[in-house]
Amino acid sequence: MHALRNIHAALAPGGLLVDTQPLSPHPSVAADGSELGKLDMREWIDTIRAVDERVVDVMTAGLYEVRHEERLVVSDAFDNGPECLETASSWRETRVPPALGSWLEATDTAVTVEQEVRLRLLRRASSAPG
Amino acid sequence: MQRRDEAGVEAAAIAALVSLDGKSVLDVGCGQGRLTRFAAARAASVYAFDPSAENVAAARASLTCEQHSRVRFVVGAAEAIDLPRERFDLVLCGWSL
Repeated sequence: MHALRNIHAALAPGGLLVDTQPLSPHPSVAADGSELGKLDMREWIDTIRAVDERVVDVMTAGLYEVRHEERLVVSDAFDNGPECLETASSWRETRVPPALGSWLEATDTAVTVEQEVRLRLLRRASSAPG
Repeated sequence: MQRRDEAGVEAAAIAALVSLDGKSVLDVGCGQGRLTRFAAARAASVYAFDPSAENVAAARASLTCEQHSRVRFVVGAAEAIDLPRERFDLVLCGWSL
């Protein structure tokens, strides 16, 4: 079953769904206030587009209505560059460009990755899942 | 160790939009419990699940003793998990849909 339909069935009438998704195709990686480079998350953004299409489907089916949408900036923090490199390399549909990888390997201070995040508030509408 | 949203930007934005007080909350794809902890500190009950048993164990371990009594964890995926019908007031999907 489609996740959003499963969740719809679990929500009480009039219940709310908060969805947050990272949207940045090229999140910035920085250390000591200086940008080291950007991750390549273009494939991930394609996945988000596919999720958005499913959201449109369930909205069209009358299962949810959008009540609010906003953008936030959320940071991931790491103790040092190699730790960031190891973690970011394991993220789904994410590439670490070679130049950035070299910078991270050589960085022994704290590193941050900043991502733009979309927050949406959906309200369960009354239609039953089909 | 990765520390996501240490500043609590996402949690603060959610708290500004909806009250969790006394609510029954479903945490979809709870990961290591970032939003589970946020919900457990406010809601009457939290049902949290994630496809990764390792993540669920980490999320469970991150709760206080007092929070444990209000949170139920399950290993499973959003498409397949058998959820109680019309039970939850609020669903949190943090980077998980």
